[in-house]
Amino acid sequence: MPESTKQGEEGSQEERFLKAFDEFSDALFRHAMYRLSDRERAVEIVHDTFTKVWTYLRSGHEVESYKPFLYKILNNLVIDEYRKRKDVSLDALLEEEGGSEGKFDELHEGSLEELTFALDAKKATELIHEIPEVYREVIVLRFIDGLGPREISELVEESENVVSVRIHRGMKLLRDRLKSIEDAAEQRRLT
Amino acid sequence: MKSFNTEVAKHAKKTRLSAAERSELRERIFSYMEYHPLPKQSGPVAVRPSASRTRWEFLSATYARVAAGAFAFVFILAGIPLVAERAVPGDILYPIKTQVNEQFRSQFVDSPYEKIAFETELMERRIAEARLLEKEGKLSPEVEAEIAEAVKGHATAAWAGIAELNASDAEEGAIAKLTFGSALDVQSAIFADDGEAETETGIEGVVRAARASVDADRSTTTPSYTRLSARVELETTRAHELATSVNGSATEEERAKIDRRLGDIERKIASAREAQEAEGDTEGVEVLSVALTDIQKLISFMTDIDVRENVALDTLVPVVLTPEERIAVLREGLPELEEGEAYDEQSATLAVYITRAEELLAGGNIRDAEKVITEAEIFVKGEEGSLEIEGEVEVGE
Repeated sequence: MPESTKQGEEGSQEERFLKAFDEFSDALFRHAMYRLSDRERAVEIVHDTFTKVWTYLRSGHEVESYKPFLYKILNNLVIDEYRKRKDVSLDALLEEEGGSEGKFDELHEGSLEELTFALDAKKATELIHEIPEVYREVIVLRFIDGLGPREISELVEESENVVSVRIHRGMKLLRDRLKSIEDAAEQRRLT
Repeated sequence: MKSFNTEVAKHAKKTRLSAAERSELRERIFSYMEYHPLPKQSGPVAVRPSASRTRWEFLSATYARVAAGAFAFVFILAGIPLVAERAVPGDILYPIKTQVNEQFRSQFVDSPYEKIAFETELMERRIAEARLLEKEGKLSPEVEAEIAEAVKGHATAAWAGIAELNASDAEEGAIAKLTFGSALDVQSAIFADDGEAETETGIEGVVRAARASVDADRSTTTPSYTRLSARVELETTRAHELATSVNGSATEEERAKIDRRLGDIERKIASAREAQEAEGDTEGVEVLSVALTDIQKLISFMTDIDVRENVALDTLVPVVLTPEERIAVLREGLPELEEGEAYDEQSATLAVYITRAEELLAGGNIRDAEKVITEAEIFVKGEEGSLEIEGEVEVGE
């Protein structure tokens, strides 16, 4: 689409950029907060996301759709942040959790619907920061940001199958964590 | 499933940017856009008309009230306040300046940080008035005593504001302390440069006492790297905008000096980033704090005619040699060799330092190169008499 047409229909690049800020800054901040559990860093990463997009525009590129583009940059910045914090690698995590990813059979052991049915949404949301980053990433994208498995798979550059397995495992971890907290509370109550 | 999704989304939506965070973030992004305009626009300031138009859409109710209030005020009083802005103690319009204009402006100071900045500005205005009167031979001891009292009042109010801010937001308080200290440094530098004997009383005494209070403050809080970095970014953007705006009025020499300082500051910021990545926040904050005070001083030099007329930029913000320039200075300590001659032991050691530093620089390892250069400089100083370096390298001002 010629730029003039695009501008005529949707406003200047600058206006579209500012509109995107207005529309997505809260959602991006929320995503960063759930991933990093650090308010200041979350604000900084949202700032860096927008300045990177602006730099991209300055280099002569255009952004057709802001939402996936912003999430992609934000996700990369969050990953960089984890690398800085020297968090465990994905491979190490997978080893720790046992088995490789992509085993679709796992999804049938207990369906996602069953898992979510048993979970208290509010409590689960509060525990998201306690599960490993590799699962937190997809859980936040799926449930906090409301993205579909296909969108997530494009964003994290993994197959939909791998994404589904990660969501499933993440939910199981949340359920187990919640159960152990509830058990501990019950134990305290009885003693 | 749907219910879980809905419930999570509902709960998560409570996590959002606060109004203050959103406003500051928006300001920073606007500044970034203005300082880095899209290619079709001709210069750093060209984006402003378009950005400003959009900006109106974002202006908070407070700013809108400020604009409307300011317009009505100027309209009703038909320029008297504008004329009063030039008044000095003893003028008929001086009370308008201090009791109307400044009081009016104080109504729109929102945050504790802005309040400290405002009191600091009033302190600087009183000092500038005293200098103007002195230049015209109208500064009597009585008037000076009155101005000194006013300066003390504003300095005390700024300091009290910092203490108050420390209690509610220690990091912001630490940044405010840095900027207040920087403003006092600028004034101290002017007093030191005026050729007059130092006095313990009067305005100079008040400024020195305020500086001493800042130095003596034992509060150990330092701002986080992230927070300080955000402030440095805002102020650097402002400094670049000011530098662009003085292009027309500054001489080529002044322009070169300002550009040189901006370059030095950018290098310090890069160095702080490297320090933070390599050694942690504490080291990064240390370097970034120096960068922030330098930016503040440079902004004072560019915006305050009183500062510009009374102190040299070299005094205020000394040039910081680049690694290449420091190597050039070291190289001057090496004797010229005839063919077949070899360096003596000391010169050979210095030559090894220089070669190593150059290799590191070529490999992009600036931080380690600077460490080697510093070691070489210490080595040279230790060998005083045999490898003493004289003179200064041209720094391209």
